[in-house]
Amino acid sequence: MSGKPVLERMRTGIAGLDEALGGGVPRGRTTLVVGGTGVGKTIFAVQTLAQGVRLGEAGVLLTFEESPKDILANMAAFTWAPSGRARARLSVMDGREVRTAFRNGSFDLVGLLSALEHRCRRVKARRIAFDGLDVLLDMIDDPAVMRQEVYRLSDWLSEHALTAIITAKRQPDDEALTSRYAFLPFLTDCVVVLQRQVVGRTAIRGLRILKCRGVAHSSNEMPMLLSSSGLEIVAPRTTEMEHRVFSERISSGVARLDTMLDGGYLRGTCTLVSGAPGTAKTSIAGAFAEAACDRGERTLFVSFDEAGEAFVRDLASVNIRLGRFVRSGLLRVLAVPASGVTPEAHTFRISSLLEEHGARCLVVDPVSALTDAGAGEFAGDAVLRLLDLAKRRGVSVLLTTLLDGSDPAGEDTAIGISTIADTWMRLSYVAAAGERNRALAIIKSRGTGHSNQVRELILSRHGLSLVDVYTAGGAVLMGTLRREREEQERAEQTRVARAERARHDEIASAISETQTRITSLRADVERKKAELRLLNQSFEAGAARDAANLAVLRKLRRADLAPKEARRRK
Amino acid sequence: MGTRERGLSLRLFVAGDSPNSASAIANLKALFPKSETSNVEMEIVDVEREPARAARDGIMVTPTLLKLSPAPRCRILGNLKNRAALLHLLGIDLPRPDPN
Repeated sequence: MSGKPVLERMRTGIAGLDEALGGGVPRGRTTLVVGGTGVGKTIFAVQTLAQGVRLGEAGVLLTFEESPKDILANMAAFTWAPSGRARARLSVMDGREVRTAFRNGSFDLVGLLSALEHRCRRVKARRIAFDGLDVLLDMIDDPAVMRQEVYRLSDWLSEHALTAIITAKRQPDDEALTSRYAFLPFLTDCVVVLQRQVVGRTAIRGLRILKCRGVAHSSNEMPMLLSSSGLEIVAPRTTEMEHRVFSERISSGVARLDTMLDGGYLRGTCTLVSGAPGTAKTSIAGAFAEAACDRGERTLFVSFDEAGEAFVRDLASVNIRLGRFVRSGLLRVLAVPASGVTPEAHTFRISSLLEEHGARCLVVDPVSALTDAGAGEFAGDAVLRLLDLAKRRGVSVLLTTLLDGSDPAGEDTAIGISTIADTWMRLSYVAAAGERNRALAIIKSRGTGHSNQVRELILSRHGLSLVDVYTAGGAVLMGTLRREREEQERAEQTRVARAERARHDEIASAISETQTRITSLRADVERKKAELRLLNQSFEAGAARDAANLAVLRKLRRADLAPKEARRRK
Repeated sequence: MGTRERGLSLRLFVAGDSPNSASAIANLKALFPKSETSNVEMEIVDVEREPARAARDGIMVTPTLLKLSPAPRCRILGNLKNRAALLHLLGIDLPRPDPN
């Protein structure tokens, strides 16, 4: 079985598996699918052949367990079932006759290979599946003979370059076909183990790639879903965080909360709102959805609330009106009970709806319903994968989670979402002075200078609002106590303001008084100056008059000039 | 022999001249001495030459012997080395040595 260095792949059509196998199972080689009863081996085989028909490759299915009629009837229920003419390209051969046959001496598989060769040539098959080969092999008592016949089959397959799927039952305690068919994995190039277990009331399916030539694969069990689309593998979460990074802020729908968050939630991030029952988680979620729809963004609201879509009506009582957006088609509501379906199936459905609706915002209320469905460890994975997908799509997510208020370690959420959430707000009740009031605190918010203060969340028919709380002597005051405190503060403020105003007036009047005084003093100065001027004038006039009089007198007296005066006159 | 009145119809599928097929043919023919074959309809089909017939009869292994009549039809896999079991399945009494 040595071949080309690089094996060409063949798509199985099982979403997620082809990616995990580097494009599909190795082409021209044999893939072994093992698992207990009801794990989906037949569907694996049929789906792979149907995918071949879609891609123009005919196939032959040889069934040793179910009747061809049943197989075709079951296949018709799947979305990928070939119809019309294409149906003929999937040929089903009945191998069940061997189960009721009598054995008499040794035999070989030459007859089988001849019949197959004939059928494959007729339909030009490229793919072939043996469903329940163990039934045929069980007919051969001698292990050496059985091995020889399997080699014969294997040689025939590679000679005809057929890509084969062989399914075989595996006992629950037989981890990897250690017993009779231990050699089978060595003869095949790809071995896939299917599993199914029931946790609570929910069946959990899983797929593990035991080996696959030509591709580096994970050997971890991957969750598998069965729906009308057949088998689907939920691919492992991407390990690199190659998410889109946004710096745009989007409103939380609560004005003060936006302020606390430096403008709102960051687009494309995940916000977790945790709290006990009745702490208004759904209202915070509703406000976010309403704000998103107000911006014209398509939004998906997933509610696991027992009351179905009643929350839309309930939210209207706090002025969060989602009904109009549901009617306009902007808001898509998925209201389903959480139990009875696997968390994987839920998150898968949500992912598909996200895509279908083209949602830019997603609300899951509450996400903890998934963990309570009885499959905790699986739920965490499922939710993380959903968040991963949302991040890669740039969808802004708001999750609510129910916390038991009495749990002191309540801030440590059960499914570890708190670690992946970018923003985590905690709603709680604060009971004091005979009241229970709602409090909101932002525990963390990545990339945001957020307020570290606790705010009181008030629900009214006008909507949601946040108000400051008071801390007094280590106690947080809310509700009536807060209002009393506010009253006190207001009274005090009024008193202070009044005193200040009085003092202001006092000073102002003092100034004006002083100014008045200055004005009058200045007037006084002016008056005195004027007086002085007058005085000077009269003095000069007097002097001149005196001089004139003197001259007259001199003339009259015929007095000679004083020597000085006589000189000046000359 | 009990087959005389009922008429036995058999079809044996073999694969060429492989050891199992060769011995199946020999073992089957040994059941019926020349004098007994008039009431036995026996057809041997080589699946390598007539794969369509093998496919039609749902032949998975070779050799496979089909008892077509009398009813009930049955299918016997193997080289037919267990003569007693084969006679029992075909509803044939063990031939007794003729006292006359």
